[in-house]
Amino acid sequence: MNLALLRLSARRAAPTVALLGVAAITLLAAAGQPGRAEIVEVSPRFEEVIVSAGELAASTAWIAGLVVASAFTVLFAARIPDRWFQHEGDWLGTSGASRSSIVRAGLAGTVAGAAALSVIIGLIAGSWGRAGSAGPASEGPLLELAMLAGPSRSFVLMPGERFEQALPERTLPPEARVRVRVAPALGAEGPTTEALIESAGQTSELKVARQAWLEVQAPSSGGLIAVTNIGSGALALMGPDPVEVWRPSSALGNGHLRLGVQAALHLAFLAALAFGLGAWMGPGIAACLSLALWLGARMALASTGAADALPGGAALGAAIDAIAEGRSPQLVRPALALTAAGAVLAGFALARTSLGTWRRESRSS
Amino acid sequence: MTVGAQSARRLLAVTAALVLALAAARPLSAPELEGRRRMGPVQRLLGPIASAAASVEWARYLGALDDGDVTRAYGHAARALSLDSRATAGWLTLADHFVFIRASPLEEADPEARRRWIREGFAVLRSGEDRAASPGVLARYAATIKAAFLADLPDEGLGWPGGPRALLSEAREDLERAASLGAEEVEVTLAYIEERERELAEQGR
Repeated sequence: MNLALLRLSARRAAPTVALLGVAAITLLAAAGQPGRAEIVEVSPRFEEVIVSAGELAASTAWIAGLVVASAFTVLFAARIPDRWFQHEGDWLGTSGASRSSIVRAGLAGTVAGAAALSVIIGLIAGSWGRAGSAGPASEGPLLELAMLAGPSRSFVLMPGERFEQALPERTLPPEARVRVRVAPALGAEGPTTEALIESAGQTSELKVARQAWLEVQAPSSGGLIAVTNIGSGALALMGPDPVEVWRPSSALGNGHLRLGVQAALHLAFLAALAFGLGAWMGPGIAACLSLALWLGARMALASTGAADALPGGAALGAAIDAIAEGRSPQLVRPALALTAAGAVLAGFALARTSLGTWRRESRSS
Repeated sequence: MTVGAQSARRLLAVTAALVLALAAARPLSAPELEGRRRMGPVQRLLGPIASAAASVEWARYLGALDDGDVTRAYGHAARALSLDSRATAGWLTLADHFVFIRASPLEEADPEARRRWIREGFAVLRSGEDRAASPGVLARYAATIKAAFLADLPDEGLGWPGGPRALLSEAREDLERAASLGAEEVEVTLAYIEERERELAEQGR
């Protein structure tokens, strides 16, 4: 691997303007949270908000930072091969390095530069996360999703009806929680209802007037979770998999490291695509096409089982939501890393194929 | 890059900087100065895009409400109001949520809890009067809710202290404040309040 070329590509994929721009936007998004005095002045009830202010600021910082970083990534990654064709082929193409080696080093540097943007967002958002909150959300242990269960579709419990879900036999620590997604539904006497959730002797009641979570302590070694509609309206259990089990997590950086890895995979995916396409077309078109391809894939896969395998797809959204709730995202799934690796391979193949005609013709002439 | 292209870019950058500087140097009117004084550092930094950022926060507020996460929704609302406190519609949106959704008998069976949420809505409108671009609209809206909605609700449902007469009296005060803050078409609501007061007098309430 040509390390000098790798470093050059990394600097070009994440130039100072991109690093500073991403840092500034992330910082602005994180710091834009209203202060305690300002919130309480608006409305005393807004005290509730302070519970999750730090987590909300962190999730907003991640979203804002990633939007800007995605734009910078495709733009600068697409320009790298274009420069080879425009000016640098004269000396780079006649050097002793093989074309595959040049593309490999260039692509590795591009991916590394994209990942650096993710590190910057993570450092800012992560330090803002729990440090900025002082409510119950940050008092309990950090939780991460351990298991999903339940039917594959939504269904309705009429008044008096009961739903039971058996959890598999596995040891869960005492702080583990189980929650069930519910909502009021049409079809019975009242427009809203009340629900009772039971688990290992623990119970909790809730008036269900909108979508809500019924939450209770999880049984320590498997067992039944039961939800009973004790009101006069109909109660919908929102599928698929309405039952979630959350266990204490030991994720580093309160889960921001895991989110950072997901974000880095997303940016690497975009960078590799833009790099490969940039070897065949102008950098502006390549950048737009990369974003369009990613967005198209995201929309096409939205309601399929493969939605979690797309970098920057449903898994990233769920991870940011988890951070906003003060919980940790799950570990990165292998399918996500495989898809990002596939995009890197595709970027390599595209750029390498394009360099096949290098020095015999010039795209710019 | 050719020298000509570089010069063109520099010229464009200098022109843009000049336009921005002239726009920033424009003299501000008194309400604008007062609004600017209340702006936070982030709002000042974001400048004209603060309003767009607030719109994004309002969209996230609605998304969080749809998900049933009211705590998160209020976080987004607080942030949106902080980013663009001059937008009257934001204050109206949040007050509507408290008065018509949280205080709904579908969500709260207890009249005391319902009254608390309604007062919360009015507190939001009152806070907005100090910050929004059209404070009179907020005061008039508070009067309209009291006179045309709450005063018509059956006593046993809400049990507002003092009943409809107290609500109409409060509405009249709000309306006077709205007029002093420059609200238009105050007379329509005032005529309605007077008509309702006559009806109550005829009924001996």
